[in-house]
Amino acid sequence: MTQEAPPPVGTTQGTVGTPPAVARDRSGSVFRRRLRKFRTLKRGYYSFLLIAVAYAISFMLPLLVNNKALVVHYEGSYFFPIREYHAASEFGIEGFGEANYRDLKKKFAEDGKGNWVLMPPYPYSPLENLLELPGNPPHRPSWEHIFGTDTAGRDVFARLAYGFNVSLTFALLVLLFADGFGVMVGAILGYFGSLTDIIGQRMIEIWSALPFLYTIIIISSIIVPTYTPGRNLVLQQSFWLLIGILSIFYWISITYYVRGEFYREKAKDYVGAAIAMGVSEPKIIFKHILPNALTPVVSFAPFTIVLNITALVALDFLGFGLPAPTPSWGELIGQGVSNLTSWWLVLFPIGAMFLTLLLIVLIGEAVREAFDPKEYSRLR
Amino acid sequence: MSTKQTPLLQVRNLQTHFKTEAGWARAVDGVSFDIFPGEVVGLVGESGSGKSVTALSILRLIPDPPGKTVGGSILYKAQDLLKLSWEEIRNVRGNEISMIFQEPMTSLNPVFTIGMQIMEVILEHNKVSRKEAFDRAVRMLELVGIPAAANRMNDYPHQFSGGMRQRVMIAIALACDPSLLIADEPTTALDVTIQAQILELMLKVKDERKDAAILLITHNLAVVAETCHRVMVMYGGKIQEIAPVRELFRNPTHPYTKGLLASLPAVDGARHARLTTIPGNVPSILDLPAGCKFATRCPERLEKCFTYEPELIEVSPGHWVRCVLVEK
Repeated sequence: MTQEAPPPVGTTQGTVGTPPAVARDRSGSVFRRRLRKFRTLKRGYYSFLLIAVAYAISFMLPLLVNNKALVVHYEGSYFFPIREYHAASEFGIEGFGEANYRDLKKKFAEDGKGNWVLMPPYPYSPLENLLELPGNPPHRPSWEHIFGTDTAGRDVFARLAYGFNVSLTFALLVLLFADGFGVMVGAILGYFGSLTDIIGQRMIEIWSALPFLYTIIIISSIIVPTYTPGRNLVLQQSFWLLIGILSIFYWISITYYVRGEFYREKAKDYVGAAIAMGVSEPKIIFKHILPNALTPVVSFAPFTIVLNITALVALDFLGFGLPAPTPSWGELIGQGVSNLTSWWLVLFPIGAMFLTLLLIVLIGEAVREAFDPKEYSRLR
Repeated sequence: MSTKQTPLLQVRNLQTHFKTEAGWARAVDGVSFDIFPGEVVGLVGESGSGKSVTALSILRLIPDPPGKTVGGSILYKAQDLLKLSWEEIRNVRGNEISMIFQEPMTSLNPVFTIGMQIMEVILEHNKVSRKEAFDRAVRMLELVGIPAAANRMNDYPHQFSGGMRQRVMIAIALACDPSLLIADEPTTALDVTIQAQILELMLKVKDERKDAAILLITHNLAVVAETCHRVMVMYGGKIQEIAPVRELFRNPTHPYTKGLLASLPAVDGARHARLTTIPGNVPSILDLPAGCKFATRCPERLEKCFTYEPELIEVSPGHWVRCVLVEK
């Protein structure tokens, strides 16, 4: 808001008290106000933008980081290997199986017959064993492989990039399922109270006493997680299995907060007024009270995402996570630990995880601050 | 007020008790009264006399547990509200009988716009489109005197002042044309200047609906004198006196009513005269006297008042009193 000009000398009786024009279009919604405040917290807001953009881009990774050519122009016709399988023989080279498009590109360039190959900017796949490289894997970082290769000769950068998408998708889905269920249970316990609450709480206590890691080990020994080649990483059966297992353990903590919020909110007059107006019970629970009880859910969400990513990394590190060869950070860190001399296997996965978690924590800090009713913030 | 009409609401021997660790608290213990169409009835009494519990019992809003309406009947348009199913009583609430609460500051949901909250009650009880509900909500806001009503539909409760919020509450309460409006101390939380406006608004809105009645719960006798046709005085969970408003102020008969009126400052009274008070406190509802509930504080009590409780007796047309002094 611009500073009001001081009144001219001698006109002290003038219209000093003119109220500043209030912008009517600024919505008074509590949510909008918090969003506005969140935007003013630069550190968290830019972290959010960075993560959001990176996550959006990570869905286009097959176009950016891949060993399959985007377009092949061969003898007058166009091929799109990114979408379908083409055998090497189709492009006039010897060999079985799918064409190696990097070699094809070199060959076409040497031939100079007007054929060409358009490769993704980073032409290596996270699942590809680069056996043609000189020496034994793991290979040191070079200009072609900026983060080096892992013990199976796969490009570390490609694996980290795909791993980012897998980790964040995993964390968001666990958040969605676990918190969704937890909020519902908390709402029911808090709203109905009395016997429902007492019995429900005891059930939750029993459930939370189940040892999480042992259960995962037992489940993964019964249902062997499999990897279906050729299927999208987030459509793998084992990916969803792991989300399910984590969700059935991670819904518990949020119920306590939501239950408490419901206990507080249901005693407020607006709930009584809604009952007196004849509003039905499900509507009172989910429409009237729930939006007022979501503060802890929203302010915990970024930290829950951090927790979920860490959980996936830990499980992958221990070997109970996503099955090989899914690109995963935990598995890379595991390789790094057993090959400490290959410093790039330690530094880059841990660096990627650290950076991601740091940004999400900064978002969480800003979200918490935006929900703080205090007007002035130390984060600005 | 002619008593030959059929009453809109007939409360008979209503008993609402609360379970506490010290036993059953008889908050409302045998309350009977009628409300006729078009009438404004005041229900006055001290804190803890059972006024609000009576009102909440009518709409079955007593939280159970610990509260329970253990006896009596509430006949509304020939059906007993106490015997309705939850679905049926839900349809009565806000539609046939609605309620205005004491605290306008917290009675609106902070996360929804004013418009949504008025529309909700309309959509809940009527089969109308959202567009119609919106238009009706705007008309309600205009009716309760909110300037630029259509523009304010998208505002949130915190953008309204206390008096404005109470107007919104009235708009919500009246959105479905209820036949009975229960106002539980609607002006207590408001500034004195706003109080008069809100009361006037309630009466104005009522006058536009011929047969609508208001049950006004208050402890403010000035409000009663200003607005009501009839007054019921409650004490210790029982009605002690019912009278037309003029009759009550001219000729208070129960010692408790006399005490209440005597404790009001008189505008023409002597300066520096101390206000009269009723000595003592309201008896605990856990441990009510066996006889007349007011016996412990009554300046005119007799020996038998402690053990004997009289019935309501009609001393003059429409004027009922529960006191041994009028029994003879």
